[in-house]
Amino acid sequence: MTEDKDRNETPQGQAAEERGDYVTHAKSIGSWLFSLDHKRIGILYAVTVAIAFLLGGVFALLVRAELLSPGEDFLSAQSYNQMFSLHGIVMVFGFIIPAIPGFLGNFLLPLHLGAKDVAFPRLNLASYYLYLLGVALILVAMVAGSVDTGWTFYTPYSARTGPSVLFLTMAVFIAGFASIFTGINFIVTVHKMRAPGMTWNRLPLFVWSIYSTSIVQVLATPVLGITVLLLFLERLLHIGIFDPALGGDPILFQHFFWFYSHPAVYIMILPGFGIVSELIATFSRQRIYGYMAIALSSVAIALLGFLVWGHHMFVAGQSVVSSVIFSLITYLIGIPSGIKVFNWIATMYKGSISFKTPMLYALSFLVLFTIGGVTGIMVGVLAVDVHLHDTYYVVGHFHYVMVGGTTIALLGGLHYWWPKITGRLYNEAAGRLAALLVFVGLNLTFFTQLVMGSRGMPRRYNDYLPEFTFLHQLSTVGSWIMGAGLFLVAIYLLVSLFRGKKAGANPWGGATLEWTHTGPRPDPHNFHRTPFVTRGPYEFDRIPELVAAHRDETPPDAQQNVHLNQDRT
Amino acid sequence: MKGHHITSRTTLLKVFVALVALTALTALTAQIDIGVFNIPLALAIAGSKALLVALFFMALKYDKPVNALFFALGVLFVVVFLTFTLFDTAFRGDLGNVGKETIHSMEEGAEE
Ligand code: HEM
Ligand SMILES: [Cu+2]
Repeated sequence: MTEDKDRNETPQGQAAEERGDYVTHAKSIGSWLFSLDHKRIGILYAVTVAIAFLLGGVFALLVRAELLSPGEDFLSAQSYNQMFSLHGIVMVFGFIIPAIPGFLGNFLLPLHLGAKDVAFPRLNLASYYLYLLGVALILVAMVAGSVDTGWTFYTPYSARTGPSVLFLTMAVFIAGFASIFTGINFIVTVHKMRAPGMTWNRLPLFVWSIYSTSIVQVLATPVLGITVLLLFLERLLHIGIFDPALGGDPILFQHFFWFYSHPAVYIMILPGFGIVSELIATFSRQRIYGYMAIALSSVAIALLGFLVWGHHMFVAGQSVVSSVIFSLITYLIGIPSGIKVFNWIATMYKGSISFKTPMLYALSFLVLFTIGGVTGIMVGVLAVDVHLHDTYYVVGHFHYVMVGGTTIALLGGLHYWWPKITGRLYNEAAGRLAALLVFVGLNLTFFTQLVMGSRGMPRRYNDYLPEFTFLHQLSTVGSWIMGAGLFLVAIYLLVSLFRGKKAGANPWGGATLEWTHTGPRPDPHNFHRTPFVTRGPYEFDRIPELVAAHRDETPPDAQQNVHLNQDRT
Repeated sequence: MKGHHITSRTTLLKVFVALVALTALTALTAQIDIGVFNIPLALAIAGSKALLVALFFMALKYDKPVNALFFALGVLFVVVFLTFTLFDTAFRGDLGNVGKETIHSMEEGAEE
C-alpha cells in the first residue's frame, strides 16, 4: 500500500492555517480586483460571465417574446436584427467562450495539478482585464448605435452597416487576446506546474479537456484577430478584401471567420466534456472507463475541428470540391464525440450512482449533447443541408450543443464545485427542481425549433407564416420555463452564499486533489504542503485512507461522509 | 536554467549576406516572366528568408526542439488554412449554375 506523502513538512503549515482560507485571508476590494490568486481571478470571471449571461438571456427572452405571435409586435425588423445580433455576440464572446476556462478552469487547474498557481499569474490577471474591456466595449457599441449583422459579422452586411460594427469587432479582437493569453498560460501550467508524481495519465480529465481547449485557443484565435483587422482595413482604407464592390471576395470572409469559429465551438464544448467526466466519475463512484480514450479524443477533436469549417458554407457558393471534402471530414468528428459518450455510459454501468444535482446536469448533458451532435452530423450532410441551412433547424442544433452541452455542463460544474468555492452547501431539493425546469424548458424551446426548421421556418426573421404559430408559442413558453429554472438557481445559490450550511472538505466524496488535499475552502496557496501524488484521479476506494492522512484539516461533518463513501465502494 | 545561446558574429553576418542576396534574387526574378511559376518562385524565396530569420536571428536552431515543434505547428496550420481555402477558390463555379465572376463584374458587364 502506498500512501500520499507530503513533502517539505515545515512549521509554515501552521502559520498558513492561521492566515485563513483564500476568501478570508484578505478582505479589501483591491485584494480581489488586483489579486494574482488564480482562485480569486476565477471568481472575477464568474461574476462578469454571469452578468454577460444575464444580459444575453434578457435579449433572448425579448427575441422569443417578439415571436410569440405572427406579424410585427414590438420589435421592428431592424431592431429585431439588432436584438438577435446582440444576443449572439454577448452570449458567444462574453459568456460561452470565456465561461468555463475563465471561471472553473482558473479556479481548478492549479488545484487539480497540485500547484500553487498558474504559470503566469500576472498574465492571468491581464487576461481578465482584457476580457472585461472587451465586454465593456460591447456595451459601449450597444449604446452608441447597434449592430444588425448577427454574431458572424458576415460581409457584405458588416461592410455596409453603421460604424458601430467597428466598435464591436474591436471588442471581439480584444476579448480574443484574453482568450489567447489564457490558453498560453494554461498550456505552460500543465506542462510545468504538475506536482511530483502527477504524471500525464494521472491528470483529471478536466485538465485534459482544458489543455485541448487551450491548444485551440492559441492556434485559432489569432485568425479571428486577423479577420477583424482585415475588416477594419477594408472599411477604413477601402482596400478590397471582402467587399465585391471593391474587388474583394465575400466568401473569403466566411473562410476566415469559420477557420476560427468552428474550432471555437470546440473551445466552447471541450471544457464541458471535462466537467461531465468529473461529475460522472464522482457520482458513479467508478474509475472512468477508457480514461485515455476520453483524454485523447479531446485532443483529436481539437485537431480535427480545424478541418471542417467549410460545412458552414455549403450553400454560400463555395466550390463543390471543397464542400465534398469538408462534408466528409465533418462526419469524422462524430467518432471521437461518440467515443466519449459511450465511455461515459460505460463508466456509469454497474456504478453506484447518486442522483445529486450535479449528476442530474451530467445526465441531462448526455441526452442533450447527443441530440446536438447528431443534428450536427445531419446538417453536415450536403444534400440535407441545402434544405436546412439558415432555418431554425440549425438554430436548434447549435442551441442543443451550446446550451444543452456547454451551459448545462457549466451549471453541473458550478453546483459540484460550489461547496469548494464558497465553503457552503445549497438546498438540494431546490437544486433538483431547477435542474428539472431547465431540462424541460430547454427541450421545449429548442426541440420545437428543430421541427419548425425541418418544415422550412427560416432563421433571423421577426415574422412568420401563421402555420408556425403553435410551435413558436411552445418555444417561447419553453424559454420562460428555462428562465424560471435559471432564476431559481440564482436565488438558492445567493441564499446559500449567505445562509447556506457550512460544507465539509469533501461533501461528494470526490477523489481529485481539491477534494482530498484542501480544506472546505482552499488555502490562499492551495496546499499547505506540495502534494506527492501516487495515484490516479478516480481511485475512490482510497479516499478514506487519503483523507485520514489529512484528518486534522477536515471538519467533522466531512468525516461522516467519508464513512458513507466507505460503505458504498 | 541554461544560459542563452549567443550566435557568433560571423554566422550572423553570413545570414545577413544571404538575406540581402535573396532580396536581390527576388528583384531579379521579378524582371523575368516564367508564367505560372512567378508567384511560387517569389514565395519560395520569401519563405527561405523567413526560415533563415527564424533559425538564426530568432535562434530557433539552438533552442529546445519543442519550440521548433510549436513553430512548425503554427506553420502547418497556415498551410492547412491556405490549402483548404484554395480547394474553394481554385474550383469556384464548379457547381454549374453559379457563375465565376463577382456581382460587381456582372453588373459592369450588364452596363456595357
Ligand atoms: C458533432 C459535432 C458537430 C457537427 C458535426 C456540427 C455540424 C454543424 C454544421 C454542418 C453546421 C452548419 C449548418 C448550416 O449552417 O447549415 C453547424 C452549425 C453550427 N454549429 Fe455545429 N456541429 C457540431 C458540434 C457543434 C458544437 C459542439 C457546437 C458548439 C458548442 C456547435 C455550434 C454550432 C453553431 C454556433 C452553428 C451555427 C453558426 C451560425 O450559422 O450562426 N456545433 N454545425
Ligand atoms: Cu462548424
